Amino acid sequence: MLIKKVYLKNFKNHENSKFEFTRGINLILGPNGAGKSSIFEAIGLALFDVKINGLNLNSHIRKGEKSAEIEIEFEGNDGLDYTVIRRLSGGSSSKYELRADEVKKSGREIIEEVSRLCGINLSKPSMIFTHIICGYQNKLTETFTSNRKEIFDEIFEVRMYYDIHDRLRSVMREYELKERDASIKVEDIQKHLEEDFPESLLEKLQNIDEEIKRLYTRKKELEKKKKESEERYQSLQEKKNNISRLSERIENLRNNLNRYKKELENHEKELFELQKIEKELKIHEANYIEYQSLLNKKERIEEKIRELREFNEKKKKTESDLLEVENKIKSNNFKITTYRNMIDEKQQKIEKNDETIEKTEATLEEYQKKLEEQTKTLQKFRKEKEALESQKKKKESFEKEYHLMKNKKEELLRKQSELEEKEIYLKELSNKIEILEKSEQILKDIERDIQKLRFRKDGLEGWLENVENGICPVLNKECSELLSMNSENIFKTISDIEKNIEDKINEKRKIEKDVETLNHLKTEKIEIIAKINSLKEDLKDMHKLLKEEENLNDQLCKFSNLEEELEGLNRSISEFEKEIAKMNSSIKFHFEEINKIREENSKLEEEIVELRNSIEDLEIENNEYLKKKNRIEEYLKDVKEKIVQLEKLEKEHDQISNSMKKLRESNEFYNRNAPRIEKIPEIEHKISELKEEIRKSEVETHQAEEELSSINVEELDFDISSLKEYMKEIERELQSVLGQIGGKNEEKKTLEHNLKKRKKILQELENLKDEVKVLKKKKKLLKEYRENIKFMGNYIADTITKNVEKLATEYYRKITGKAETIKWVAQDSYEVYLNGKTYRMLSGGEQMSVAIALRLALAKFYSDTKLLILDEPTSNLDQERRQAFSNALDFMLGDLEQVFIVTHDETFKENAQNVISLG
Amino acid sequence: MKILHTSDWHLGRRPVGGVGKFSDIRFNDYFESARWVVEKAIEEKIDLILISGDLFDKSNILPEVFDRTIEILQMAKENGIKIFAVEGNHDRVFQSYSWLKSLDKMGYLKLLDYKNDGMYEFEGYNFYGLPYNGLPEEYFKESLKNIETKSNNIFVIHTAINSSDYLIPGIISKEQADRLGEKFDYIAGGHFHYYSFYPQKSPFFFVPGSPEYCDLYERDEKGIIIYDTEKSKHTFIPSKKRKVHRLTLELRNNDELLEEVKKLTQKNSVNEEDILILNIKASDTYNYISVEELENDLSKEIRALKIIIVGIDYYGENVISVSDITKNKIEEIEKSVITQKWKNIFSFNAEKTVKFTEELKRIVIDQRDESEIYEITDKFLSSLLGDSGNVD
Repeated sequence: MLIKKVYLKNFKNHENSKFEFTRGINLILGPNGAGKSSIFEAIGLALFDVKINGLNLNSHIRKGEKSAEIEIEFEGNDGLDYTVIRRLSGGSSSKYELRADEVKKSGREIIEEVSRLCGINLSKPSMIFTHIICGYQNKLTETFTSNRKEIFDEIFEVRMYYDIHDRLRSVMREYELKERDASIKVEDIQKHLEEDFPESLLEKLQNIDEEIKRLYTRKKELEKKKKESEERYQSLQEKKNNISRLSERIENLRNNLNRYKKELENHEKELFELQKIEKELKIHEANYIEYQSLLNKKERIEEKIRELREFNEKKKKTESDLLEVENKIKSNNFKITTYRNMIDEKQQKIEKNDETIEKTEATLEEYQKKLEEQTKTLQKFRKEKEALESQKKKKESFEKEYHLMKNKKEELLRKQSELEEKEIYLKELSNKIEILEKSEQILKDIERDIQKLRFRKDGLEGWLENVENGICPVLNKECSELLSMNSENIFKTISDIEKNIEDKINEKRKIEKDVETLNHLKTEKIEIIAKINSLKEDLKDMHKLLKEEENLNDQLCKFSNLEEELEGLNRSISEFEKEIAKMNSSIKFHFEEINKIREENSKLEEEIVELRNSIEDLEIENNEYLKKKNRIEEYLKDVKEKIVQLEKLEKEHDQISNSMKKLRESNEFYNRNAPRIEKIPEIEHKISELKEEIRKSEVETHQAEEELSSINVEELDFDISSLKEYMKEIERELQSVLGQIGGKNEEKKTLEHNLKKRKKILQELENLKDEVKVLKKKKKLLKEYRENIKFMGNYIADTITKNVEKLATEYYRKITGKAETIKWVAQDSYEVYLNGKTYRMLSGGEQMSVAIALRLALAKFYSDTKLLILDEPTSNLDQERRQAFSNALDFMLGDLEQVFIVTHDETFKENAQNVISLG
Repeated sequence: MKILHTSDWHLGRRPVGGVGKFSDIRFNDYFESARWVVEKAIEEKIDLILISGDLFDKSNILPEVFDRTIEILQMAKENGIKIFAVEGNHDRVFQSYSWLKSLDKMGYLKLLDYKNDGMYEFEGYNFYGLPYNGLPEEYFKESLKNIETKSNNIFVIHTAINSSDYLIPGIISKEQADRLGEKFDYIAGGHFHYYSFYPQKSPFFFVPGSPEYCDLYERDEKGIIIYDTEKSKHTFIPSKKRKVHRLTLELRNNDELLEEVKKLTQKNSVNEEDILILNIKASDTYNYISVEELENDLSKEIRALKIIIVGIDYYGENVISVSDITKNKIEEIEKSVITQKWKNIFSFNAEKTVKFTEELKRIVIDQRDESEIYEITDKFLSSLLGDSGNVD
């Protein structure tokens, strides 16, 4: 994990603080009371719920405030950023919140979530934080002194295994109880089993089975007998039934015979009546036939009349059709005349238009002639303009040349004045040179004087030396007079000469300056002469130039009127062009006019053609109508003939109707009675059938009566009653056998049920015995587990300390550079030894180094946080150790991702990747 | 449709230290394994590759890593194989723009983000994916609440199922997995670097593991999963990765160390391309050994790509040797004590016994009811006795 940011709001003495941390070593510098430690108290509280000195949460809120807030941003072991927020408010309540991206989780259970994100997967994250990750001030070494057994027993969960051992006692007790219960049950069951369900039950069951078998055999025999007698009873009963069936039949036959005789009588009566009607029908027959023929005729006439009447009706419609056709023809004729008139009108219009066109064309011709003339004039003007423009160009080129010349002239004039100036200056210069050339001579004189003076001075000095030594400079011999002679005069003379020389030199310097000036002036003079010569050369061309200028001026005068002429010409051209444009538009207008009229004419002609076509169409249509009209008239003629025929037929119809009236009575009688006599042969047939039936029934009745009298009824009744008695006897015995079977089966069921119970109890007994066996085994296993688990904590503590001490030794040696060995003995209440000395015997510095090494080793071996917080780790270290510790920091970081060092010691400033100063 | 499910490529990873020949070779190993995955997909005629997060080892990768990744993804693209991926914890930092997004824009893969972009349909299946979040239970509750039906739904997520009491950030419980199982036919998980699936009978939650060792201490199986949607059948194929030997050496004195290691490597035919992880057990009286120096000395004499000494366990009469210090220390020590010290039926069931002990601890800490203790104890003892109740 990596703590990135910590925000503290009203937490302890932080009103609103914000800290940013980096990977590597973070150094927190500051004096006591600046709030260094409270940063880590806040981290412990927010991430792992570490209570500081067991204080109430309220006491962490800044004085005068109601609530505090800790917000920590960290990178989890999965590489992602998370934010934990813990809010403290009055009344010791607090709220947690964990955020990842946009997901939020809150509640106390997030402490576990945060612990696993930080790489702590143990039940006591707060202990790990307090005693491994974070060494608060003083506690850095304290962890390994006073309460170490309690602390590490808790961290390594040693007591837990004792607890497990104790808690499992209840399970053992439960097993024992269960075993005792089961054993008691086994005894109880065994005692009661033979009393309640003895083994002899099985033999009894076999005996009953045999008895039941025997009864079933007897039952079968009886059932067979019962069936036989029932069959016999059936046949006797059949016979008895036959007697009553016969009497019934005789009765039926007699009834039928009576019915047949009555029916016969009725039929014979009906036959007599019908024969009487048959005679009467023969009298009416002729009238009936005539009536029928008349009726036929009448129907035919009526049919024809109906047909003819239809014609009459059709006639009306045909007449209206005729009228319609005639109207149509009339309307078409009217249309034709109208169209013809329209055509005439249009043709007249065309003629009129043609005239207009002719006139306009004549005007147009005139216009075009005029236009041609004007165009010619315009062209002439344009040619003139071109000539003038070329002249204008020429003029412009002259002007350019003139301008150039003028510039040249000005330049020459300027040069002339310069020449004059230079010549005056030359004169002045020559004068000056002359004067200075005299100074040159003087300089030579002075130099000569100086030479002379020096020579003299040298002579005097040599002389002076001899004089001082008493040697005569003239005789070059010792002279005693000279010794007394005052040499001061000579000195004076020499110094006078020196002064003279100096004056001369000064003078010479002055003149030398003048000579130098002279040289300058001479050079200048040469330059000016050269300049004057070149100017004179330039001015030579001056005369020629003035002449040329005059020439050019003359030329330019010639062109003075040119522009006015050109302007006049341009004006004329534009006037002409306007005129021509006007003319052209007028021509165009006339042309358009003609075209318009021509278009109109062609449109009119098209219309005429259309109208003529319409007329033709109408004439064709009329022709059709005329044909139709003829057809209708023909038809009407035919209809009139048919109406005459109709009148004739109606008369005939009336006559027939009269004749039929007379014959109607005979006809009706015949119609009513003719069908009836058709029944006569049928009735005659029925009568003969009935007679045959009566004869047959009489024979049958006689036979049945004979059969009935032959049977002995008394004998039959006796047989039936004795058979009934026998059957009753069999039934009685059968019922008794069935009863016996039921009883025996009941007995068998009870026996079987008891046997089942016995079996079940035996199974139960077996199960209970097994259970006891398993419980015993479980007890044994549990005992074994408890015995072992009790000491698991000790093994664990032992293993961890043994592994950690090796690692710690490695760290200690790196930190201190000393080849000493750390031992950490769990069995010895976690006593820490350094080369055999107990922790208490060590110096403050040694204690601190050992504590840091152990914490590092623990952090590496025991947690995946890769984080270490050291509060004042150097407080007890001497300068040498302090330096060694500082040197080892990088090595320590090889295994850790982030280290916080809280200190007021600036030794580590160089090692740190991030320094935060407080206070 | 045939789907290849892979995860945790960790491209761009270097071992701790990050410089030198070994580092360069290992850097290359991750690309080799990823290349093998895509080649396998081509060989097996796969329609779609699912990458369940941690494609990259860091959110800020080097240009070379990006370039080589594209080279591998290009092979899939040229063979018409689609790739869907989600962001793992290594791919992204909150509120930042991951390189996977760039790969999506460039058309090398489709980055699934159900919360922001919605569901993605392909070949009649609905694909849901979410980027990694450290608080998965809350995150899923919030993000997946609107998905109800379970018909052709596939979920891609950088998470795994908590298989023990040992808690790891960003993973979910079995209960949470069961709830997800109601919504999805196939959950393509990741985050864990070894192969696993849940539940044992008709599983729906799969983690293929990282193709290459991200940490040389990883021991379980790792590879890819091929899922046939028509047959609802999954097949695991172990991946191509660097050979790692894990050997233990028991030492009696200093002088024999080098000879012993030589013998051991010959016996186990350690190749010069291979990595050797050595666990040394030294006697309690054995002189103090510096691991660093020892590693240096050995690498001069032994032909192997790299020799790593996990730790030196000093053993003596009263010292329990702890074989694996990378997991939960206490549980590991408990396991060692039960196997090495108890020497009874519990020693043969050490794993079970440790789990039982942890459960007891939780009850003791939470101060729960006696009846619960009886219940779990009886269950544990019964399981030791087996169905028949025989223990002899």
